[in-house]
Amino acid sequence: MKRYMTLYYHYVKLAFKSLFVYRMDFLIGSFGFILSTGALFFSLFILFNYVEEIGGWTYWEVVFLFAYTSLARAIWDTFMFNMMSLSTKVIDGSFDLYLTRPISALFQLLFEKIDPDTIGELLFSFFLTFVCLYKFEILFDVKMSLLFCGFLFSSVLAFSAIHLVVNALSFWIMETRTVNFIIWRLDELIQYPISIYPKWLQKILILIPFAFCGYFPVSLLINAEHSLYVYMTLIAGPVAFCVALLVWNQGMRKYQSTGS
Amino acid sequence: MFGISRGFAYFLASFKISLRYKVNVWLQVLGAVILVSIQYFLWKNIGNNNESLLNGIEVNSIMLYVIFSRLLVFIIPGNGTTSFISQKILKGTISVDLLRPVHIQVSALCYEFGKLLFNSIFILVPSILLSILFLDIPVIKVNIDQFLLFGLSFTLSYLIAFQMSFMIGVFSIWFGNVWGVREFYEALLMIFGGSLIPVSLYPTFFQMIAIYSPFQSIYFTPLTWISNIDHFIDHPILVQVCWLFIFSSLNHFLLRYALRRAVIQGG
Repeated sequence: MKRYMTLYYHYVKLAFKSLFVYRMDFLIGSFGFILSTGALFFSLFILFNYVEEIGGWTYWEVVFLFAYTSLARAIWDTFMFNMMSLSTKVIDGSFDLYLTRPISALFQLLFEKIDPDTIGELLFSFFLTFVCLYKFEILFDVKMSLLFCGFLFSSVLAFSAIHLVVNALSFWIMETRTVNFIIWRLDELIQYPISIYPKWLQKILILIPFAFCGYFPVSLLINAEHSLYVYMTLIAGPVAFCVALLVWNQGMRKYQSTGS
Repeated sequence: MFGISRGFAYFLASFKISLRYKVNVWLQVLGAVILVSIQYFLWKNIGNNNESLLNGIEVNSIMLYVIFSRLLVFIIPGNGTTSFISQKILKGTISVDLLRPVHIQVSALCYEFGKLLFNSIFILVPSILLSILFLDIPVIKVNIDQFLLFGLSFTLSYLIAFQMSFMIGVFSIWFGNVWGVREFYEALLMIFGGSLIPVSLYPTFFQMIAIYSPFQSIYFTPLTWISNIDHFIDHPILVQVCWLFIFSSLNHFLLRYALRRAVIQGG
């Protein structure tokens, strides 16, 4: 465990060093990322100039949903973005490199690189979530804050699980770029309350645990509900991640180097 | 002139390259349909629970606007053009392109045309057909004049977007990596181009900025023609022509200056 921690420290250090290679571009890019997250937020703001609610959710509730999903995704995006490169690594054979090292291949894949590009997005969504937590009086309520942290942890895991499964498909079908593309599109579905969608679509979003990355946790936090759903939401992420690990292990067993 | 006939080879090449990834096409269509349905369900929900007019604009018009703007993303030049040029600069292969008897801008444009043809046939048309089949998308009457004006306006917006993306690509001579500039450009396109939501709904302050920015010429202007939304500029097409002229000339000088400055990195 300690070895993994040290390794992770070095990975992070390297990531920040490589950041400064293209300093100018990094600064503009971070600002751009904040701006594009801001643009989505801006469109919500405009929308609510004209409407009272969307799918039964008021302005601040939708903002909270938006902030929460952005935060969960940004955390995943910043720290585990490297899993998106699995397909390329399997195709060009550089995945073999991981296997020759004496640590878990999954650990290396997930944490080898940090995506500093999304740090702007991370800060923006964190700030927005903070404002919402204050607004809904969750911030000073210890129990609710703990619940929030639990939910966020579970959501990040759920996010990672979805993307891990999709990327692990490259052990079988090699090229997963387009499936990734679809999953990115689905990401957008959950920025709005899923109650605006027809029933069949809602079921799909619960099954692929996207609904647990935003809709369920946020509505539970807002209504301060204490139902079975709280526990379901708390364990949805870890369960999904375990499933993803199973898929990963199956894939590893199946893996044959392309030999290139 | 400028080797346009030779550019045809680039057109054909890019079309053929796209053809190789046929499996991707169906997934891309699926992605497009998902994007369209998000907007459809969102605006349907808004239409059902509110008055049918937002700021004097019919909800159905807005729905059409946002749906088409999600589809335009697939054909408006952007990423492809930028990396076409920036990759060449970063790798140094631009030296080969400069020796060729085709102007680099012509080859980039022809390359983009090939993708335009491919994406229109294999992504746009199927996505529109599927969306009409599965969602009951509102139909509004558009007369032939409006349709022709849309065609003209779209052509201009296509060229403006091409010029801007090309310019960002050229920037890589100074920045090295242009990922950040592109991200910035896309954000501005979302806010002032009205690619997320029609500019007509903005508060006055933002509307003013949007009107004087080149970004609204890319998304907002062409889309207003087919969605019956008022384009509160007097001569929107004239404005587009002006922007196109400005960016073409800027590019002309920028490219000349940049290439004089460029030190080819060995290749």
